Amino acid sequence: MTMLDERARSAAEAVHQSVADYRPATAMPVLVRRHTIWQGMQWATAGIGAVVLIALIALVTAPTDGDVADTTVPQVTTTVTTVTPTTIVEEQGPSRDPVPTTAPQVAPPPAAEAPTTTTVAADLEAPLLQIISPAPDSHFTTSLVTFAGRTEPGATVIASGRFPVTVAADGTWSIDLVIFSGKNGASFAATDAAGNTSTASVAVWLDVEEPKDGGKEEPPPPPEFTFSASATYGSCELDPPYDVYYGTAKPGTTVAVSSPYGSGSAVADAEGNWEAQVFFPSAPYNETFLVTITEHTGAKKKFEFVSLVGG
Amino acid sequence: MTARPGHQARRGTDGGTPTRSVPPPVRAVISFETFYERELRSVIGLAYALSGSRVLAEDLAQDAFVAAHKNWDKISRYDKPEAWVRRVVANMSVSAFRRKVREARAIARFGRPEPLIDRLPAEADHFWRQVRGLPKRQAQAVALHYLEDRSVADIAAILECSESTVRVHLHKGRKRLAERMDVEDDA
Repeated sequence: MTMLDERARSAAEAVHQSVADYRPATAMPVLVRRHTIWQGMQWATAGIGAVVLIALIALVTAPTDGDVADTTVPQVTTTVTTVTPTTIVEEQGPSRDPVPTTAPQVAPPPAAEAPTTTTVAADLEAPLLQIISPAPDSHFTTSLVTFAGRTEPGATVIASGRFPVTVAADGTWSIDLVIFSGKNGASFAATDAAGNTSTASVAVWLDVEEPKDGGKEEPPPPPEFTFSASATYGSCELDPPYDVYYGTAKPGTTVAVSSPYGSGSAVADAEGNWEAQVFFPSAPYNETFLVTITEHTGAKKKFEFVSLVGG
Repeated sequence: MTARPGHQARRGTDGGTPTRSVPPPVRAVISFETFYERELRSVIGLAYALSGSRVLAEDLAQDAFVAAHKNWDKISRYDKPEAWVRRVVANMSVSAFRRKVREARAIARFGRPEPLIDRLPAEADHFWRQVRGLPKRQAQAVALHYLEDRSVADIAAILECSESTVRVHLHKGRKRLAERMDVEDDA
């Protein structure tokens, strides 16, 4: 083993160790993340919806003469410097609720004297998050399960802490997840525009049939001396170049290796294994040629070889 | 004659062209979840080595398995479905531009600063950085050769090229690596 090989093996082992403890999420989204264009369309749809919503709210909350202030749900009062369209009700603007007929009509104050204060209803309520299906502790025999539910329109939903879920305009959502044998816990978190979060989870089961015969593996079939041949790597740049061929054949039979630039043979041992090292001293540089391996029945297998000596 | 010990692991990876009509062996079509659990870590390791990003490695592997799942009826009947998923990951990992775009997406998607994969030690990280500096095909061949101890036939199947091409890629890749790392490589 060369120094490069040693470094490589060490580096490879480091990679193996880095992923050795990797545990995939309990469930893996399979079909939700479709084509990038599809995702782009989702964002575009969401953007258009947001613009339309803002425009509607701006229209509704525009001040008009003679309207009565809505003081039914004042929670936070402040001077307007920034506007959150979904939560603002201006004192001088129209109310979305019908005005009580018994309420005194209040004359609007002169514009110059009107205070520029608004009432902001802060959204402190966690969004709705329901898992409609599957029912808790449902049992499945296939690994692909569709989880569906409902949340507040406009909220985002994340599955298993990392996988975005598609939420429709009406708040319904669904995602296809792969579950594994045994009990699986699928958790979901919904976050609304104000940053409020709700969580919900459901446990489902994947039932896997026990192997027959009490889990005992079937005994291996008796050995068959089927002809096979393989080649190894690592010698095409040595002078003279060579390759080592190996495989199986009927015990005691001869396997011949032939090529335009070198030949050899081997006899299969009692276990049916054979191995032959064949040199190709006159092989031209970087020109691929065929090496034919023939067993006693005449069956052949062919391999390519290329010499990298003298380049 | 007894076969070399190292050959045992590689036996069955015939790369030759049989000229005798032999009935194909009975092979079970494994379930996707079995395939996923069996191959996931190796595929993430390959993606990590070739991309250099822990976040991206998870993302690439996940995308590859999602693609495999969508086509599992077809891929599960391949002789080597693991070669298919590795080819996807290897090709996606070595594209510099797409790599950066995907990394940004992966970070946004996962939304957490610390990936689930452990960081490599400095020496190993340096080695794989040198591998990533190789031409695309050389880097892929070298990674498959060293990381997974794949035979030339296996690498050829994964990269969809001839065995002789793989030999050349390995030879040139190793030679260039040895020069860059200032170590000997007499093999």
